[in-house]
Amino acid sequence: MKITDVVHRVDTQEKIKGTAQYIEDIHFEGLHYARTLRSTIARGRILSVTYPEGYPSITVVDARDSIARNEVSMITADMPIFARDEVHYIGEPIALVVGRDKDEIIAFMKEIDVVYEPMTPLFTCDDNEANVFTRRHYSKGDLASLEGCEVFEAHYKTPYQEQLYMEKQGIVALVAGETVEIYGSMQCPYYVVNALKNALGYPEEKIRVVQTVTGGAFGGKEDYPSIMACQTALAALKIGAPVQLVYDRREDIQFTTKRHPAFITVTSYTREGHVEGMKIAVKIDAGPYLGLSDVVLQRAILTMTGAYQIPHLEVAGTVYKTNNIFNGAFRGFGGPQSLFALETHMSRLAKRLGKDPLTFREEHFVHQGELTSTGGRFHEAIHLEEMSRMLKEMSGYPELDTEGHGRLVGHGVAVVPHGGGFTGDGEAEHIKAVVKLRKDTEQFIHILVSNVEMGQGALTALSKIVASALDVPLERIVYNNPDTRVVPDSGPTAASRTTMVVGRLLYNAALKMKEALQEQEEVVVTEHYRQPDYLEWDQEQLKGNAYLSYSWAALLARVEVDPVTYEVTCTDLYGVYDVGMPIDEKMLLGQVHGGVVQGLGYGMMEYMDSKDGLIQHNSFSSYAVPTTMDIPQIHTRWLINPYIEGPFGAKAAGELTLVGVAPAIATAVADALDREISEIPVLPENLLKVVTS
Amino acid sequence: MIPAHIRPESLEELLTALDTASYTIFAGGTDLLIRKRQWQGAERRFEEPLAFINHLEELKEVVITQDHFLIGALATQEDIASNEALPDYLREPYRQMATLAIRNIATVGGNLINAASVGDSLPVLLALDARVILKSVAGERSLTLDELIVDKYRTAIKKNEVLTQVIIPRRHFSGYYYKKIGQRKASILSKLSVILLYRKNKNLEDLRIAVGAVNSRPLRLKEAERTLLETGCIDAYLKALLESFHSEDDKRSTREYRETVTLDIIRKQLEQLFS
Repeated sequence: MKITDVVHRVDTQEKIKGTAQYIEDIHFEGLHYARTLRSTIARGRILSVTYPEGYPSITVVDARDSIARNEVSMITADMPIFARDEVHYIGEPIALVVGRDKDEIIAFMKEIDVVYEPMTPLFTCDDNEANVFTRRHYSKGDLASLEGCEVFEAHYKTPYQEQLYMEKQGIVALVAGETVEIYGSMQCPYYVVNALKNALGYPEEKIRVVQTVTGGAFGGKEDYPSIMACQTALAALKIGAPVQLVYDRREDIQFTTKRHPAFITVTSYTREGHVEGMKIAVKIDAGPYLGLSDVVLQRAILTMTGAYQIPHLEVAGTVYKTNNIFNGAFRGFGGPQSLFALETHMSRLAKRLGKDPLTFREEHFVHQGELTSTGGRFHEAIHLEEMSRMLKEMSGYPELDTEGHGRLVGHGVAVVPHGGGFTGDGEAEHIKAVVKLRKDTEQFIHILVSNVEMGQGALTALSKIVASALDVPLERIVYNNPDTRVVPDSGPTAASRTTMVVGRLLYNAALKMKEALQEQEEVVVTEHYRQPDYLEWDQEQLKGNAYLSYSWAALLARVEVDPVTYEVTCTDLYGVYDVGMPIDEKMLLGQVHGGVVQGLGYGMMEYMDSKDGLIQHNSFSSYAVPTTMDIPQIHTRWLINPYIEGPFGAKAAGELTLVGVAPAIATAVADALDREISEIPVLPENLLKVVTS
Repeated sequence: MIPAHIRPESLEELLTALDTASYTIFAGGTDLLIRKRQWQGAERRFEEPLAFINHLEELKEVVITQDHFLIGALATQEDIASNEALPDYLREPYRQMATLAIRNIATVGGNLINAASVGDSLPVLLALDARVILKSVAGERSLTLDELIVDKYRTAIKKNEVLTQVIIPRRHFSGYYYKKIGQRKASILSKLSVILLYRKNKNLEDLRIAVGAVNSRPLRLKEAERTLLETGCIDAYLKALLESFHSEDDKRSTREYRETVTLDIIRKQLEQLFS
């Protein structure tokens, strides 16, 4: 087949028919259920936990059952598998209660008595060093040397966001001989392997992790399954039977990781209508454990200048330790927060300077060959001017449709990047991806990678790359859900890296296999990741090429605001995307539509508040996400710009489609109301305040 | 030990059962099942045995007479939303409730008995001076909505009674306005809702206004409505309305938003009506 062939998604049928087996659907002999005993206070010492008598078929698994280390190893290992002496957030796991009868487990749990000695919790980002996890900083030029500039400082605030994958978090652990086996909904099977190696002290051969059909993840199943896997593994080892831990929806919303709330201050220095410098401070709330937060912060600050060349720059970021919920990965990974602040700021500056917001952006666009904010060089072709031109052409800009039939009409633009793959030299230094292709004697080609299909289309995209590279029919490709006993570690399914990085390795492997395609016997080809020589990175100084390559999006949102009720309708969202070469246009459109909807929710309606450390919006009826009725007309065009390192020229796509949507909509609302907006979501309640104040 | 659940074959059998023991009446079940939400796979535990009644055809009828719309309590919300013989002002609030799948099973009676502050059928029925028929072995009584709904989730229905019918007087209205505001455009609970019904020939002859989801019960100021009709003094009516609000900040909205926007919506409609 050819890469340009139009295909059906490989996994569509089983998912639409309902035959796909999610973790909750799979039968395990002798399955036990587990429910989590959680802290009810935000911070304190556990004085005692008293479990009821008279439940012979119930087993409690807690910190006393830990084997090698009571730690969930992510990047650091600061989180316990079970709280032992202290709790640090409401909902922190203290124990699993395991049994075969759910009603009995509920009855047992009602009788558990936990006595705490409360300590003073911290719910805000506090600059006392004891409450700071990490600080990161980089600079460019000499901000202090700037003279005669107009200084404009503004504060921006972004909220929690819940991933709201359709399938809730779920893991089953069992013991098979000497091996601990984990099955479940996840993005990163080898993260789970590594967490288990650390927790159990087992060698890798005695650990097997199998991803089951995953109904959405969006980052929410990047780090969290490691926690559940460690807990259930201890339970399975203790009782010698399979243990299932599947969260209820409210439990999942309330206690698993969210997008980090962020507080961003942008101070701009303009002279003669041009931004000469920016000073930026990004603060994110990690919750009580570091987890992935330092990495999220790095992407947030490294994305902070967006698509613009700012000569003088001071960027600082801080990760705060609080007793709020533990935050983690979510599509965009720090980017949505930064880009909301930056793009809103750019539109505000344009307005202050009396300039057209798109023209103002064009005057600051970065170009190929220039230095990035971290002093690396933009090696790839960048066509932002052309994207801007295409955006104007498709939207009729600047002759925009302002007829709102009684409603206020506004337009907002955003031009945003997303760096593909892990930050800096992460792909080469930390992930070191390995992929394999195996041709069996029946002439089927097996894709052996640890990257998962989670709804995004990896199954089809990677299969298509291999089939096209080999010029064989798609039906000859076998890509099963990863089983770490079979597949090498090609890294996590994250950072929009699957098509771009893993896809390229598979492409290389396929080219090698091509010569052996006619042979009868089994052939295995292994491919290792190698960073392009022209990229350099200094992780300590945050200097060099922060990303392998950049994808770009230029967006324009049209909104209508009801002047009485302040209800916002986004009627149209125009987007031009440079994702290199689209591997599959239909799937990419799916990514765009999904990204727009998730970004629209983030910008317009998904409000989640935490009160004294407890998430208040914990259900579908209070945490509102968009439905089809809220979705605008989505107009999409591609800027074709093949990336030399990508498979068939493809770059990162998944996260790019989300990151610019909220600022485009928020600035459109600001335009409609002729007011400044510095916070999302743009709820009618907030707009009422903005207008009447 | 909880006695067994029952599935009476007729209304009569149901009334007899209700007279002898305490049951939770289960019609569409869309609210009850949520209220008894439990760890998925564990039992939804009700304090009382259930009386399943959703199969009772005699309570599903929708009859239109010279003077009334007679709605059986077990008519589904979609039965009303999609019934072209019924007027739009009655159908529209039902059309915007929940989702089609829920409207297909949730009943007219259930939304009244649940008596949630966000029940979207309550304001329109209040505005239309609807009455409900409550039956028991002892006979029947008829209550206004104001009498039926005591407070949020509390009704005046007795343990041996069942709501069988909603009686809506037929009046001629020349126009209506309905607005529901939620956190999104569909499939969502109301932050507030407003229904306004009127008859206008040369002059305005009839005018009813009801507000949902702001107070714990649906709100209608009949006295102030009458004065408004007589005097045309919009400010006085809105002042009375504002004074009767007792909204709160909650997960869905704020007191300030609910009250301000409700007043602004009504003001805009009234100004058009009286111009």
